[in-house]
Amino acid sequence: MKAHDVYRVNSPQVVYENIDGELILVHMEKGAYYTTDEVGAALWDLIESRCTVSEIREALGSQFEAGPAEIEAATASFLEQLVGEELVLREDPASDRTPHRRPLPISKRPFRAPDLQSYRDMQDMLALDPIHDVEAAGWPVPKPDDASVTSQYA
Amino acid sequence: MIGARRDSAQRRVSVVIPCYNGERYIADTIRSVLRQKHDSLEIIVVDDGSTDGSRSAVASFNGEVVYLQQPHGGAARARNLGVERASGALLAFLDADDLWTDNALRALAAPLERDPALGMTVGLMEQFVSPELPDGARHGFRFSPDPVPARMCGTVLMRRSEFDRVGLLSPHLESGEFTDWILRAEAAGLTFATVAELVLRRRLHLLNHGVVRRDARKDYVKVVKAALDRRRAAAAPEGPA
Repeated sequence: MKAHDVYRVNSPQVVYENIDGELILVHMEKGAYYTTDEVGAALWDLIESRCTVSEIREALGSQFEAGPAEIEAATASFLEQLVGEELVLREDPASDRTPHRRPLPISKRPFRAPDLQSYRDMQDMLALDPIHDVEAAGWPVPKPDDASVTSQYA
Repeated sequence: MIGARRDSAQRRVSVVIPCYNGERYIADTIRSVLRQKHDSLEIIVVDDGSTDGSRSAVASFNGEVVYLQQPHGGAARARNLGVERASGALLAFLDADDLWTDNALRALAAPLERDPALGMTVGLMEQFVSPELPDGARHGFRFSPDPVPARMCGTVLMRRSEFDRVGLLSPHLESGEFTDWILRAEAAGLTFATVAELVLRRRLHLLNHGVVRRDARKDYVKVVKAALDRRRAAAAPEGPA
C-alpha cells in the first residue's frame, strides 16, 4: 500500500448506508454483510471521497486524537480488511480524481482502531440478485431512469 | 384418499403470484403450478398495475386462477393483497417469471403434514438463463448453476397462521421485502425445515428486478440494519426475550 494509492467502492456488488450512525455494508454477490464503528465509517467516507492513503491519514489525524504512527497502522490494517473482503478495489494509479475536501472539525474525537465485523448468516438470501456484466456481454441493459423500461420483480 | 379429502381445507395451498408486466413468462409460471399433484390448490395472480398484456396472458387460465388487480404499488403490496384473498391453510409465493419443479409442492408439503409444530419448509433453487436471450446477453450473467438452499419467494411453503403471526410484508421496501419477512419470522421463532429437493427454477433475464432496479438494492442495507437491531434488542438484558 503506497501513500498515493486510491481505492474505490466495489460497486455495484457492494451497497452501503450509514443508518443512525452505524455504517452497514452488504456485499450482494458474496451474500455477506458488515458493520463498522465510528472511525471505520469516517475512513469509509474518505475512501468514497477518493482520497489517497496519505490524504486519509491526514484527515483522520485532524478528526481524531491519535499520533501519526497509530493512524498509519490502523488505516493500513482496515484497508487491508476491506480489500480482502472485496468491499473496495485499488484504483489504477492514472485514474483522475477530485477528492472531496471536508471542513476541519472543531474538536478532535477519541480514536480507536476501526473494527470491521463480518456476518454470513444471511448468505442464502442476500446472494440472490442476478449479476449481469454489461461490458462483458456488450449487450445494452436498460437504465433504471429509462421511462420506457419497467422491471419485473424477480 | 377419503382422509385426504376430508382434510382438504387443511391441505389447501394458496399460491400468490404478483405480476408486474410479466406477460412474457407468466403463463409458464402458472403452468408450472398447475402441474403440481396436489388435491387442493388455489392460484392467485395479483396484477400490480401492469401496462402490458399480462391480463390476457392470465385470462387463458380462466377458472383455474383468481385474478386480482391493484394500482401499481410494488411487490410487497401485491403479495399482501394476494394473502388477504387466500383461503388455504398453507401459503406459498412465486414470482411471475420463475418455475416450480413438478414435485415442488409435494416435497414442501410433506414435512408440514407430518409435523404440526413445523411452521415452514424450504427447498432448493437453481437459476437458469431464459432460453430466448441472445448469446451476447446470456454470457453476461454470472451465477452458479448448482441447486442451492435459498429462503426466497418460490422456495418456501408456510402455514397461513404463521404468516399472520409474523405479519404483512413491508410495503416500504422495493427490494428485499421477502428477506425482511424471513428475518422477522426468525426473530418471532418460526421453525423451518429444509428439504433437500429442487423446487424452484429461477429465470434470469434482462428485466429481472435486480438487473433493472439496481438502485433498489440499497433496501437490503435497511433490511440488514433492522435485523441487527432486533437481535441486539433481544440480546439486551432488559430487552424482550
